[in-house]
Amino acid sequence: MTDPSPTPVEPPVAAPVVVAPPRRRRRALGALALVMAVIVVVGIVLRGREATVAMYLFLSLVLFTIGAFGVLIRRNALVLFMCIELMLNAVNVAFVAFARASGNVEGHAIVLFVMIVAAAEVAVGLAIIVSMFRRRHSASVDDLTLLRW
Amino acid sequence: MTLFIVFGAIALGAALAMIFQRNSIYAALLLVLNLLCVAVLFLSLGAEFLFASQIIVYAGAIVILFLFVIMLLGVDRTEILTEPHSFQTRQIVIGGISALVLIGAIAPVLTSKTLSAKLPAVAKDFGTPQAIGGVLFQTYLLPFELTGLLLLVATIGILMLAKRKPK
Repeated sequence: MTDPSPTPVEPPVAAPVVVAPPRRRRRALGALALVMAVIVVVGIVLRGREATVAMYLFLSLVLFTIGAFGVLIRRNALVLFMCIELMLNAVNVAFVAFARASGNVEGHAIVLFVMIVAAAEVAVGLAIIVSMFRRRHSASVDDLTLLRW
Repeated sequence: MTLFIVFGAIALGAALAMIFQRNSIYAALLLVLNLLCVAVLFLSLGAEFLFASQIIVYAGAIVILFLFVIMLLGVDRTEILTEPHSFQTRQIVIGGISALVLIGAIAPVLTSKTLSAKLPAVAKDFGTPQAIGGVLFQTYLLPFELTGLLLLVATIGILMLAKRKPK
């Protein structure tokens, strides 16, 4: 005896179309416009000049400061690590700029070492975050209060 | 110069957007954008080898590791993906003040004459793998070997940390 009616096949559910909400889209567009405006203004101010070490160092300084600011304001341990990466990378820019200015390739070797150490540091840090998450079910640094007095 | 302005501005914008981005996946993607722009800046400074290794190591490996862990921990938990609390005013004020102090303390140094001199012409093999390899294996041989040891120790440490304890 075979069942004459085959099991009803469920109609395929249409995948929801993901569209960024208008507020977020507007914010992204605003950020893009801001970056373009900065490019145009800086381009006009520095018109006709050649790039110097000081410019690269200033960029490196600002990137480092943004990273440090991020470490101060964020709570998510993962984002804290990203901010630390940002700071390490800013220092790399300074190293490469100095290497270019002095024509000495040793700065590049040091940047390579920084990259290796950063990779090891991130791997160990993420393993610590994973094991902390297993124990406490949270990745917020505010929950690590064992040493607070 | 154009390269510096365009990619420097994008790098700064991406970094700023990253630290104010609540969603950690978007933050990781903005970090990739920032690292790629910095890689282009390396290229503009004549560091071809570092350009490649920046893309491979940072943008390729480290950020992928971040994304892996975010996905691993956060597939069904929104508090990993997005930060629930808003940023505290106190933190932003103190952080902003210290950031301004940091910039204000260092920026005057940058106006010195030696730093704003034109970049000198460099040797033809500046920044090539051959030049860096020569430095790495002659001057910095011991640190190079030590970083190998460091990677080994890190690998073993990660295995020990991430291992599930038997019940």
